[in-house]
Amino acid sequence: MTVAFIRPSPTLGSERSSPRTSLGSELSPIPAERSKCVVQEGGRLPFEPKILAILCNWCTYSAADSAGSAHSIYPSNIHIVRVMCSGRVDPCLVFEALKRGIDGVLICGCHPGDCHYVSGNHKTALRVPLLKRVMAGFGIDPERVRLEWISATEANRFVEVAKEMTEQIRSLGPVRQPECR
Amino acid sequence: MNQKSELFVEGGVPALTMMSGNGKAEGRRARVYLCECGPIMNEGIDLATLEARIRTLPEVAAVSRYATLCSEQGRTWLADEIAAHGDDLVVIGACSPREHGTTFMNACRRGGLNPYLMAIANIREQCAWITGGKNPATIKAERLIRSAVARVRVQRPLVESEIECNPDVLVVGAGVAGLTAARQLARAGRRVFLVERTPAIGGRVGLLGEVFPNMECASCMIEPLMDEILHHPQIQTLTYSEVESVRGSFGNFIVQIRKRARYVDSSGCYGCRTCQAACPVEIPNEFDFGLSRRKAVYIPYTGALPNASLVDATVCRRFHGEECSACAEACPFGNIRFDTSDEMVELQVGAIILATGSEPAAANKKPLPKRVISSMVLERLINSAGPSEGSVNLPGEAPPRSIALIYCADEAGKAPASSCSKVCCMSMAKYRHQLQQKLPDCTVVEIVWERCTGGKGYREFARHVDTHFPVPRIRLGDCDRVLRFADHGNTVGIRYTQDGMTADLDVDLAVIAPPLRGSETNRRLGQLLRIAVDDQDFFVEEHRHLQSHRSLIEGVMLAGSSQGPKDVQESTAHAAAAAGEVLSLLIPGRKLKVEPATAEVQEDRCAGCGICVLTCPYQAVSLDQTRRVAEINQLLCRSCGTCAAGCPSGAIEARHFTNEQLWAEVEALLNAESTTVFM
Repeated sequence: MTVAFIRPSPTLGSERSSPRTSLGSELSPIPAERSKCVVQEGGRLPFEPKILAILCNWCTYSAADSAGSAHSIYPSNIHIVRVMCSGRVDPCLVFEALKRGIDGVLICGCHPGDCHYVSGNHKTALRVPLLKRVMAGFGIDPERVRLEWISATEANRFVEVAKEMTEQIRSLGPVRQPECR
Repeated sequence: MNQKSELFVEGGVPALTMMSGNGKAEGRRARVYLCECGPIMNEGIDLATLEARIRTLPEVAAVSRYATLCSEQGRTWLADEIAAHGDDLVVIGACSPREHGTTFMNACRRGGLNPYLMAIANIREQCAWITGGKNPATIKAERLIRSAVARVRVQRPLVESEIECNPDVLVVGAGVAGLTAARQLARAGRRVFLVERTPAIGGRVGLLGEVFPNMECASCMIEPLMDEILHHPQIQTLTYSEVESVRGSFGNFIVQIRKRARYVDSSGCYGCRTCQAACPVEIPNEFDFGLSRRKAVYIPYTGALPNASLVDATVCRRFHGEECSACAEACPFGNIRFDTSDEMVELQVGAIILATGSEPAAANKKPLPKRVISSMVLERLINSAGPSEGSVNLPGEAPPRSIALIYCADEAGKAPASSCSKVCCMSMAKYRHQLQQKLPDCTVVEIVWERCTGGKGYREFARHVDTHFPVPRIRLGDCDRVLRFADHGNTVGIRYTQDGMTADLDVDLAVIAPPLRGSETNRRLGQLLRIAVDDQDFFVEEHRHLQSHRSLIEGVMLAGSSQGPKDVQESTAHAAAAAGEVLSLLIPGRKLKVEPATAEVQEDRCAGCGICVLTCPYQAVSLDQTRRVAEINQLLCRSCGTCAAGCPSGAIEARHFTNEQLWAEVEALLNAESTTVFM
């Protein structure tokens, strides 16, 4: 397990999380405790986040495949799990993953209106903001979960999001503080 | 039965419910097959190191490499390997499952292994090509293979079951689309039930005189088709009938049809119309949009097929307490049967084609001002088989000396239509062509917001009309409106704005072409079949581009303009697509494959809240009201898993994507030492 030195951030509640989707935008995430990561302390390895990417089979998984075919480089921190529809993403699974030590979860589906299963992504769009509120209540930064609509043709967008997400989670630090264990 | 383990229950934290059913692959070891993908994998991944590291895993029985697993030799080798090690689960480290998932599932089948006991680690698209270095690629590949090994050990063999199906087909609507679909199915030997709401088949095309762009005679075109349908031994046509209820699902629908009483024995009626002459009741004929009058016993319009009379019980005196039997006395064949009543017919079919068609918006509902008619009325006036026998004048009036054609108007004729129906502008061009011949001295003026002439030969036809029969055209901008239609006795005054300036036009007749909307029955049928209709009453298709002939309900197809505005050419092509889809899905003697990776309800956990019923876009989930548990129709389920994610008590399991299986993949990431370098 990588270990990183954690220092609580003095800037609490400076929320960057603007809702990224028009759907469900009425739920703004509750500010949560933020922690910053300092790497390379005492010869330890730098913090490398573990990021779970749950991708829908028809759009974003396909986009990730295209990114592969195009030999686009994106961080290996991203661990892809395929589901048939972003509507399959059980908020409990995401929550459990974060509780157990996954540093960030990326959920991707087809653009609203393009769902292979008509409206699965609409349900995800409603569930994720709710999940974020619950997360905030438990002291997990809602920024650790990101919902994106990436179609099969948007391989570049997937790579971009994968990079952004890794950078963001890297700056947020590990999900569990060592003292809390 | 089911063992339940709750991974995390602590202070009200949402828990991830996991269920492990019987027959899962626990305890069995996995055999890992790595595909070298020619030189590709070796270029990106240190396969020797990867192989060595995976081999040390206690859950792994063996690791083998093959140059190209997807080649014919590779697949045979894989199938033989699987057969030789029947007890082991299979993990394949290769390309994306989207590319060769089916290939490897088939190899499992050939090797005698349930294909759902195989997992694929996508080490090409997700490792070899994207990491930018052999070391991280190898580490990630190891993680992905560990993840697949963990997953496959909690996967369960799924039974690929089959059910018997009924190859007969119900076609609702006997317009040109329904007729085309019925004919195609019957020619392929299928039994077809063709149900038509009105007393005559032929739909809107049956009312047309000529069709654009080649001015072909519509009835000459459609009559052979109608004749074939009426005399085809495989087709049972039920006119004056409506769908009452639908039960069952794809492969085995049970449909109740209300066959309304005609009170005339159709089999003995030859359409001599003696009864009509005797009938004392007279009302406006809806098939001629009120241009003609019909009796209570009537044949809808000239040339209507089947050529048989019927009694309209809503207006017949006999059904309003009066003693009248004028028609019965007049009928030379004694065919009038007042003692009959509506009949309920139960049909068993495997698929349903909805060809209910479209109608001009608000036609017959809101009366238009005097001397303002909708395009379909003009169509009937021009039609030589129509109520006026082709003379273009309103009943009891002289032929108009001036006509204004208002293109692309809404149902009131005052504002530009919000949707384009594709056919109206071409119809208007057709009317100009016909009016020039029928009324050469009549002045025609066009009031045009937009003109759409898309289609093979359509613009050529519109240009031909413009060139040979030029008329003045008043072009209106988006903000311009027709302000009012004023009744000036023998003329109608049209006050409109053009570029913001008010202007007046006085004509004998104004014709508007309102946009098409779905048939008025679509909403009711949509409720019966649980198919959505859009704001214009058209049925919602499965996919706008690729599957416009399929509804969201498996086994229910859409044909013609019930799905969206279409001309005759498009309607027939669309109907043929729908019929073809049925022919390819329902094959006599062949059973229907039931997708095994569907959702499943664990009844002992289900509280009957019904949230899943709301989440399912395919109406596959229903609530058993007596037992208060959710039920999933395995034929309708498309395996999206949205219900499983939505169930608050974790009672629904998405097979092959269970919480346990997804968690196995997450755990592999959790347990990984590092995401980038070896420790």
